[in-house]
Amino acid sequence: MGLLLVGVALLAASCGGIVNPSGWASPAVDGPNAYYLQSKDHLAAITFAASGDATAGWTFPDKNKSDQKNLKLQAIYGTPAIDGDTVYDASYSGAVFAINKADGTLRWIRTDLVGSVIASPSLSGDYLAVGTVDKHLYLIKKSDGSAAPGWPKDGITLKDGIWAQPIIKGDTLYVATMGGDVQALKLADGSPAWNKPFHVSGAIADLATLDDSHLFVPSLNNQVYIVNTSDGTASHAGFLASDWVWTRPAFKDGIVYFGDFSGSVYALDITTGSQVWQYSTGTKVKSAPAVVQDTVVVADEKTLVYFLDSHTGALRNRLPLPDSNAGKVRADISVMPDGSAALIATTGGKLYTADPKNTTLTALTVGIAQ
Amino acid sequence: MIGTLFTQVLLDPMINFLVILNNVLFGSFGLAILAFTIIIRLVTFPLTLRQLHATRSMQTIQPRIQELNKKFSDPKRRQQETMKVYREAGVNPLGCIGPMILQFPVLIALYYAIRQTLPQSPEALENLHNHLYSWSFIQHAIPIQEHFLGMDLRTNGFLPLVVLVGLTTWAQQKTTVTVVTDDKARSQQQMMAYMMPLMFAFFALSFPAGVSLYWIINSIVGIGFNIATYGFPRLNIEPLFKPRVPGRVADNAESSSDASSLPTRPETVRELRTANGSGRSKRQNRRRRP
Repeated sequence: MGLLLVGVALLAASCGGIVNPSGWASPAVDGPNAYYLQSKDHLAAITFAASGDATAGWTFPDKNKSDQKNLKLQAIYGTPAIDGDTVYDASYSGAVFAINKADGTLRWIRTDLVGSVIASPSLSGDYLAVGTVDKHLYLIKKSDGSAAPGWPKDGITLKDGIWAQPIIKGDTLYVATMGGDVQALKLADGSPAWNKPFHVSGAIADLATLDDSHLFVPSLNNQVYIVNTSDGTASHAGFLASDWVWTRPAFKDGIVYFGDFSGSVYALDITTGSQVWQYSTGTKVKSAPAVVQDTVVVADEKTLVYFLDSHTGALRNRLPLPDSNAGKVRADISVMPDGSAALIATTGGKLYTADPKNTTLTALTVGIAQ
Repeated sequence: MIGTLFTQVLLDPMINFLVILNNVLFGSFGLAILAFTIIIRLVTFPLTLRQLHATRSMQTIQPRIQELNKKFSDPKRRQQETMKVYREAGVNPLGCIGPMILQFPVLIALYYAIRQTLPQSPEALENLHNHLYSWSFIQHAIPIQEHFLGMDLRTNGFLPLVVLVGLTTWAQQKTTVTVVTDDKARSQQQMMAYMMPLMFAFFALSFPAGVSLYWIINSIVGIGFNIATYGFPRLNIEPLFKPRVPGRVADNAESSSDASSLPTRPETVRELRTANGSGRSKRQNRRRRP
């Protein structure tokens, strides 16, 4: 009987203890259009209207389309990548796909990736780079999803899982792993471009380019490094944050802005590696901030949005999201096409614009297209 | 309040201890689960032993309880006499359940700890951050390597482990001494002996492999404890821990003419009497003094 009770208790615990993937892709803004995560496994297109609202476009997958109705993407974490008339993205179910930007029709899909995809796909020239949590790095053709010349169909297997977006710059692909390595690989055949990988002792869950010669390398051991793209060496000694840094940064005029899991927001000068200012929100910051004009817009775990002076870190205003059931802000904050406001997406599929001039927050109403 | 207490007192220390073990044991989370389960079972062994002894004691006085059931038709009187037998024998009928209930939060926390430490989604890894101490030794270990002996410890319903969960649960059942009062109860026990492993195997279909691994090790350690406590007659294995056998009811039965006719215990029990007399505690003796 005792064993039975234990079993029932364990089963009950199992039902309550699972944190299912819910997605957090940040919106991709492309001229008057944006592509965002409408729900955990659905992308949607919107068109910004002059009134400040938006009209709805397509949704993907669309259950009314025969080639999409059976697609199970599980969750989407990667920011959609846009090139020409196509939107590319990948899913937690291990699929990578290309959608017609105009109407959301499926151009091609590959569902045979080994492992889930958390990282955003990266585009360059004719190719698309995708990394999986099961250590596979793919370079595929944008045209049809097949393997790029010189790359195996199942990609290259790295030592550890890939959670950070692989980045293509010129003829080099930069990739970070949860084992703490950053590698530079030649696009031609995937061979190493650096003498040795850049290594940190903690997991690297995000990666970003700052300019042509620097990578932003945050880690879960609280360190942040600025790494030279030419040889994989650190520009300075690592910057020690107060907690995990699992975010991409905002970058403007040689200053990099990012938050950490203790709730601190930092401004670092990448030339000297020194801290310019620090502001504490008090709770976890997962999403990347955005710099709009001279204001840093950042959101924390409690869905409070902060407007900070980009030069001094002084608080200009702090506002909660208008809806209490909006979900969390985990996706990176984007900048609106005209550069006048920041676009904030929540895990609940809601969109908000943050106006730095008036330090106001407005829910973006998405109307149905006429 | 209870949730916070559970998290801070049990869950968080367990998660961090698991991560430390993972670091010490060559970054192998499978070995960490193995070591952790054994350590937890050893730490809670006094409770387990108490439970095993209580079960054994209950079993020993069952013939007398059955006699009472036959003898008294009035439920109130029967209950009074039953309680008297329990009291005289120094057996607490809740003794089997108490230690088990105390182990419950530990088991549940352990289950959660394994699940939390092997996050199955990015959100779960983010959530794990809330449970980790800020020691760099722990922070550097994240994320935990999820593979052990070629299996992904996050995979739900890993079939070989599901089968092993069923087998080890069955073996643990077979080595457990249970309190059987009559034929009906005996047939129920027999049915449970087969149903339980099947049920657990069914549960394991929805468990991540890491939790199934924990359950298998837990069952194997449990089998070891059972054999150490009860022995295993089929293999001529004697118990390592001598059970506390209840006191002789007949010695104290003068006050009750009804109870005096009950069967006495086997002779072998006498050697297990305590210095306080017939299995009674000092406290019981003190109570009897005028």
